[in-house]
Amino acid sequence: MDEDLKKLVEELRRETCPQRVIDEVARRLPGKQPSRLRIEFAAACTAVLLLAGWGLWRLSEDRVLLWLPIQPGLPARPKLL
Amino acid sequence: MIRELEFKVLCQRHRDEIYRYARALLANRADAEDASQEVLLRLWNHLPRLNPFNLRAWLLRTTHHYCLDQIRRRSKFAEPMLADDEILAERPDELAVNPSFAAESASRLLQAQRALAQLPENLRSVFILYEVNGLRYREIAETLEIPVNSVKVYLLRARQRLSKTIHEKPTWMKT
Repeated sequence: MDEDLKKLVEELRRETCPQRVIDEVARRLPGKQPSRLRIEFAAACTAVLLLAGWGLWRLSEDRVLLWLPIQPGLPARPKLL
Repeated sequence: MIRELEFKVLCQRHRDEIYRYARALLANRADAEDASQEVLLRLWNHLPRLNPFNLRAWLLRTTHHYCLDQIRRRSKFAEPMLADDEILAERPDELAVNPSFAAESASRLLQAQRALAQLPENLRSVFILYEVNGLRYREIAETLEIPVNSVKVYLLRARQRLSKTIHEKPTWMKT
């Protein structure tokens, strides 16, 4: 083989993959990145939980009013707003 | 967890080989880094379905297809070689001791690189896989999905053409 070609081949054989390639691959791995779908799902779950909490709170307030003991002088059932 | 561990081990084992092949085919470091990244990401995606016994061939074949795709896309620009400055920058010691020798050496290396880049894709791939990556005929045949006899013929033709191109005088010197 030609001398210059031999040199070129030797140079190419000495090439090594830089660490930044592996770092970039690790960063881009699909499982490690929160996908848009996951973020949307998490937001939807949070919204549902908040709504459920608010609903329960409202319901419990209504029930407290409904369960108030009837006292003399007060109307039979308290008025609900 | 096991998949990540397996992936890390495979990355460590094959990353240099992938990079070397991409570097030789694309003749450009930045493009070779992109190609290596892409191939490793494909490895991650295909890992559960891959046969561990021909993983090396799969990796090099994927690199091969990706690089050829890139070469075809960029064929309009068609000057993928390293510049003289870049070759010289890789040898700061040589450049400091004997600048004219370093320049001449860089120029000759560049000519060899151009000769390699001028080879047809099939000859170039076989030559690189054999000489740079150190694969055997059978392994090259498996990687490129061609018969072993074709590998031998391509390698012979590649060497002949390279020798001829390197010893040819540049067109501006003939006149």
